[in-house]
Amino acid sequence: MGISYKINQKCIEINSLLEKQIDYSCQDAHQPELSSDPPAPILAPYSYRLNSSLVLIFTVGLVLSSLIFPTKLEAVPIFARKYNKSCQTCHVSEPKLNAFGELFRANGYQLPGTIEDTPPWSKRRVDIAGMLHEMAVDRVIQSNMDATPPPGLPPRGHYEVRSFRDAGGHLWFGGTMGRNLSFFASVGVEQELDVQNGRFGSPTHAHWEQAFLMYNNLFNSGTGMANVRFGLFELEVPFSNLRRLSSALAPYEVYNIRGVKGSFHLSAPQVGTALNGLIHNGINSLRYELAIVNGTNGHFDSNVEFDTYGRIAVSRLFDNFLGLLKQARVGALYYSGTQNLKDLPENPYPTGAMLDYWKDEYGINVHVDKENSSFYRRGVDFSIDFELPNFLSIGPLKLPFGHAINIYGQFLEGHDDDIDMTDLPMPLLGADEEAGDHGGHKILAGNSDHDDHEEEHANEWITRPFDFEGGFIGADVVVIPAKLYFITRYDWVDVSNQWADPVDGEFPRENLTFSTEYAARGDDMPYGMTGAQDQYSRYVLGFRWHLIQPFTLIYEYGYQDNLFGFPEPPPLMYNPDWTAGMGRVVNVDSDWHMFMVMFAF
Amino acid sequence: MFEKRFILFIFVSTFLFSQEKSDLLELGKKVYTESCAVCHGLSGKGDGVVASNLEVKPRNFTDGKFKVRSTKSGQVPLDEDLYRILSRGMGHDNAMPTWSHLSVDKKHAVVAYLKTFAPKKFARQARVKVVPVPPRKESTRESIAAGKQWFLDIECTKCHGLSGRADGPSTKTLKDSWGNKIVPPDLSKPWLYIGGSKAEDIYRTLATGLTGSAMPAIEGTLTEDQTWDLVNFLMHEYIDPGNNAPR
Repeated sequence: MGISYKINQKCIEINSLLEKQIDYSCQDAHQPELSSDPPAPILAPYSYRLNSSLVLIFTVGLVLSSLIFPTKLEAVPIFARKYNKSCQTCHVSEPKLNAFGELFRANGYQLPGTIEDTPPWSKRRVDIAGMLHEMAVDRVIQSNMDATPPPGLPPRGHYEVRSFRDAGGHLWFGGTMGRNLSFFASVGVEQELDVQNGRFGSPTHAHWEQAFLMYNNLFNSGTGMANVRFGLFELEVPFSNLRRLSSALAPYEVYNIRGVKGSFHLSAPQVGTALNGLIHNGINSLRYELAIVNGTNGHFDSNVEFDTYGRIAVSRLFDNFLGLLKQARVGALYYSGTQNLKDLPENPYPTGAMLDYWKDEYGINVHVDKENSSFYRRGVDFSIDFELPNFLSIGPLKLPFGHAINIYGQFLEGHDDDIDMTDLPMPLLGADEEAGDHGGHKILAGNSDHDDHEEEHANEWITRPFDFEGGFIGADVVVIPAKLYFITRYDWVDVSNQWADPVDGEFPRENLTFSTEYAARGDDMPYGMTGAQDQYSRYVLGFRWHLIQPFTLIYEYGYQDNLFGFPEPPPLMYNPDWTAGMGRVVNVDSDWHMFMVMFAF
Repeated sequence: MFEKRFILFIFVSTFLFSQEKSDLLELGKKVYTESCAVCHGLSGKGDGVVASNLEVKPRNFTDGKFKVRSTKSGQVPLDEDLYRILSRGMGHDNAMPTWSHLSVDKKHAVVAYLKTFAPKKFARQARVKVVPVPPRKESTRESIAAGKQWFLDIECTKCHGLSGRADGPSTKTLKDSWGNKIVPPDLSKPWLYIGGSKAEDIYRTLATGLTGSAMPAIEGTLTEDQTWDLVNFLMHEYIDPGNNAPR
């Protein structure tokens, strides 16, 4: 009894201490960054190969434990410590926010319609929230590579990778700091998948993912109507890559697409300032953001131009319209920016003088465009929440759950002037002279050993436009509230021109979809612009099962075709830049099964 | 002349009062739609966009059943009860947060607006009977022991379990009046008590029950004295043993 008292008392003390803490926005694991290393000629999966039976036992054990032990979510995560609430108050499933969570976030991490005016010095406790969010991942990736490879690599291959690893942790801090002042910061500790000497490595590093201050209710405009934030933050994109339900292997792909040498990711955090708000009367709402950012996703900014971003979305709350519709939202975004090679994180001389050329990570000399190249993204999006009638009810047999469904979609098109890469004195591994003399790229930009084009184009920087369109459409289904969720999403990207074909652009893959640009380009484009791999797509299907607290079991199956250009999974099998540089026609179809256990405290 | 002035006074007063009430309801509707409708639904039926993903469903205001009250079982709550729930929230398992940062005016306005969802029920609000909470009985060894015996005798253990950790034989089969599965709180976790975890709150919850749930009102089953014994046992055993040690 005495021990029981002590334990109870301890719980009360802990709860009391943490009462004022807050959690409001879980985030997913950061995606592994692109490796700067070329792919290993021979993969060495044996060192990471795990007895699959162990994985099976572990997984089955977790599932059984959820059946044996009480399954109710009893966590007191951070948000609950301030507001005494469960995760589902704000989250569909962590980290995706529900409508209430979005209102909470829009109001500077305060309950909608409220202004917390308690000065920080009077709280007698540190008003900081923290959550450790670690994941162990077991995944199988199988890839079928159909390529014309450099020497040393087989023309075709089947690669299989299995891993069982710790994918990292995250800490979040946030809350209010007094009247109209709130803050948010998150630190990620991640293991990067990397290829070193033909083996996988996993260097770990910690970094700020986001860190910003937010002043709310400018000009007493009303709760959450006009806020300004400053620091490192994710733009108000329609669907946050940091709060999506799918895993790191399945980001919103269209947000990550950029030109061959671009570095911009739409949904990666930016440094800058933004004016945003939510104007609403409960039924109709207008969400907006106007941002000025440095355009380098948090890296050192070396150009003098600021990027601008605008986002507007309107939504309406329905009272079961047609018996099922709950909420609908449509929105649009526009991003305009500039970049140059010095913006690239790999650039070893970010603060140096303008370089005439720069050696990229493969030792290839690349000219630096002395002018900034511009790019833009623009898109529209929608999101619909509805609830199907319990059509599975048959007489007295009723399933004890509803089926709330969120269907969402994004269409985005983008254009990069792209950074100049003409006059590439790069080796053509595996290519013969008939391959088009580097696709004719030497004819441009002052190469001395070529024909009369040289004079015409000497010292003339030729930008290489890169256009794409794409998007995704997906659905999240609440199968059992606060327990089981089903997710599915289809991503596609259609690239109209790409820096890929080593030969001369006349070697399209079979079954590719021809684009009009292909016919028009031909040999005119340096180094051969191609229509090959101009489309790719990915399909993800999975579920999330909240087991006993604090475990969540996540399973995903993914399939993607025409991997070219996909940043993920980058270093394991294939590096898109490398392939571009080598100029091979590559088709990598990949699929994976992934089990993930998420811990949230 | 006097009669004319009196009639005019009545007319103006009525107009002003109705205007004031209208303004209050307008404000209440505004706050409700901005802050409450995502869970409780625009028409107050507890079917907002978030509701279907919540384990404990938001209250359907249209049927006039409220769990946490100071009134007798089955009766509508007082305005003070609604105001208290708004200010304090309803425990961790329940998605109803504490709205303590809403201004007093807004909370009063929301309370007034909530009542419009079940006008017939709340028309009888003036006639409800409040269950009194008498001064707390001293927490003695005898009182705690008696409370423990009441805990067993009136079969609290069926739902809350012998250990009080929501592991009783009936725990997994409980449903509320709306057919939703409910789980009684683990008594050792005071943050789960939807009616509050102070001694007076627990007394009120025991005495009035939680309408619509499986928690019955024990008023009439136990006397005030016996109810306090039970409260003393719960406080001593589960909630705050350090401050409720037997004297």
